[in-house]
Amino acid sequence: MNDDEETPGLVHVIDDDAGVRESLGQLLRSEGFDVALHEATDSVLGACAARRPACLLLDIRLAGEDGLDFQERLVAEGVTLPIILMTGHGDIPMTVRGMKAGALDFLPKPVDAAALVKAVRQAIELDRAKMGEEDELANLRARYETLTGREREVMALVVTGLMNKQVAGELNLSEITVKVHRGSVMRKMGVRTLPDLVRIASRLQV
Amino acid sequence: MRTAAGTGEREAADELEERYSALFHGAGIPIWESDWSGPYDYLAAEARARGVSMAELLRTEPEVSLGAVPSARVTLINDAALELYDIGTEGEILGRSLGQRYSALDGIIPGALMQALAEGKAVAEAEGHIMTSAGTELDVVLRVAQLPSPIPWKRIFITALDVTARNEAERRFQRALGELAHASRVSMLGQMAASIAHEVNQPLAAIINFAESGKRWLARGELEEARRCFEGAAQHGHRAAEVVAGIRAMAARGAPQTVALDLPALVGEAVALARRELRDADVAVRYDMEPGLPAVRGDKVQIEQIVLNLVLNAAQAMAGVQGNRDLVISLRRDRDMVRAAFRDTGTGIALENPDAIFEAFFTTKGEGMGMGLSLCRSIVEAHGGRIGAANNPEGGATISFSLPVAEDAR
Repeated sequence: MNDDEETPGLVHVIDDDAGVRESLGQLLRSEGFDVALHEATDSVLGACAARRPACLLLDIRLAGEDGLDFQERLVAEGVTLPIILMTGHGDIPMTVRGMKAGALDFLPKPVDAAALVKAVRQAIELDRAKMGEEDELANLRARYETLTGREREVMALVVTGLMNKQVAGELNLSEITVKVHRGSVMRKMGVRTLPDLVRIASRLQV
Repeated sequence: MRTAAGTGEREAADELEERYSALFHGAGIPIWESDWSGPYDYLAAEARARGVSMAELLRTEPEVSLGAVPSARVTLINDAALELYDIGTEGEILGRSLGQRYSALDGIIPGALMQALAEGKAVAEAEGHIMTSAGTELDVVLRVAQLPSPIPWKRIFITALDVTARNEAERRFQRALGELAHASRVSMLGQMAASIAHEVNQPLAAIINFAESGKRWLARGELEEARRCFEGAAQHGHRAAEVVAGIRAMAARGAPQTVALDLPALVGEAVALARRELRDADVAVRYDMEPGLPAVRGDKVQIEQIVLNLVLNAAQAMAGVQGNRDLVISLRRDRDMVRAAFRDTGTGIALENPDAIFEAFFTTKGEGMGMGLSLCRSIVEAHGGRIGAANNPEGGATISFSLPVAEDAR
């Protein structure tokens, strides 16, 4: 997934005013982002499925479903794309609600171009980093899947800090056998030191 | 027997007189009896000299009564009346006139009562102000009745009702009503302003975004994209202009319902509506109307609204000034228009360009929305007229508007 660096971020712009929506699209495209324009929230959920760094630029006041209600629905659906809220004048209580629900940033309308570009860039980088982490975790999981039952037993005891001899005693194996299993665990999980293996075990929660 | 009967009658009369006296002095309301035969003779002579009836004289020249009042004589007065006028003892007033007690503001109040009596009415009532010995002005309702007497107006029975507190309560009530109406207007305008702001802000946001994007595309040498951005900016500029045009049209409520209007009469009606405010602000209104003015073309309600607005505005402009508070309303023909000018002695307009007061949201009042004069301008212009403001060389300001003469009156 190293080619992520080349993929431009995708910004979903959700605003019920056509002029505002299209002009925001132009602005983001001129800064090199890909954009998807949405008049209402209905079309957004399906479009979020694509696996590429993205974020949502969401008007807090929408004609159909309210921006904040949509934000809460996204969280419930497990969509974790960073959200930037655009707020009108005097929307302070709504802004607070949006930030509490986990919005990354909010921009007062009419939005300042430089502030918008900065916020979107930050959101895309955040999503890219999160996606990288997810990929890495998936990779580790796949590696863990290749371990035999015995190897997993050895790994579980080794990462608690037991010596090979103690592991052998626990599992009723010879010390040499434990040593062999341990070597193949390190190889399959792609680590060279015990602390690395401990870190992975904690990330995989094994 | 005759003597005995006579004595009996006298006793009965004496008893009646005693009863009357007890009632008169014990009554809790101010009562006095006055001999108005002097004023009667004075007015009769004045009427004869002019060859008209007394009633006619008082109707056409009420100020004549000012000359008649001093010859009235108080013959009987009760304690409540002495207390009302703040007079120590009845000796101080018996045989004299209460005439100078009537406030200079409405010295012709006795005139109104005399006119009613001259017209043959048995009782008459009038509301006005009196002055107590201490100099306090009180609002009273005076009621007069003529008691039987061979000499006309020899025995005038007068009661006074102190309505100062009632009037003050009513004024306070009216003021509260006015404030309430103002508050609801302001809140309505506030909501309207918020929705207008939203309507205008959307296209403005689009214009800004398109302009910013255009700059960026140009920097990247993408001319086609840049062209599209400028198109978008222009399109939404027009959209904003349409919103503004829509608001102006709404403010003037479309095409006015025009009819031929008698402007002097309409001005009179509007001033009558503002009577209370003018009185409270102590403003004297004078008219300077060219005779034989033609009718103008206009929507009665809207034009009346303008006149009322300008009159109230003038009253407010003069509220804080020392000295005379005069509003002179003049009407003049000016070719195909009639021009109405409202000249006040207020604080004037502290602006380089006095016409700026007609801009929407311009206000000098803490609680104003600044829509009044802006609305006046929209209405006048929708009628094909003009409105303007100027400071007077001697202080104060003049706001004037003109309306076209009705076609069939040209």
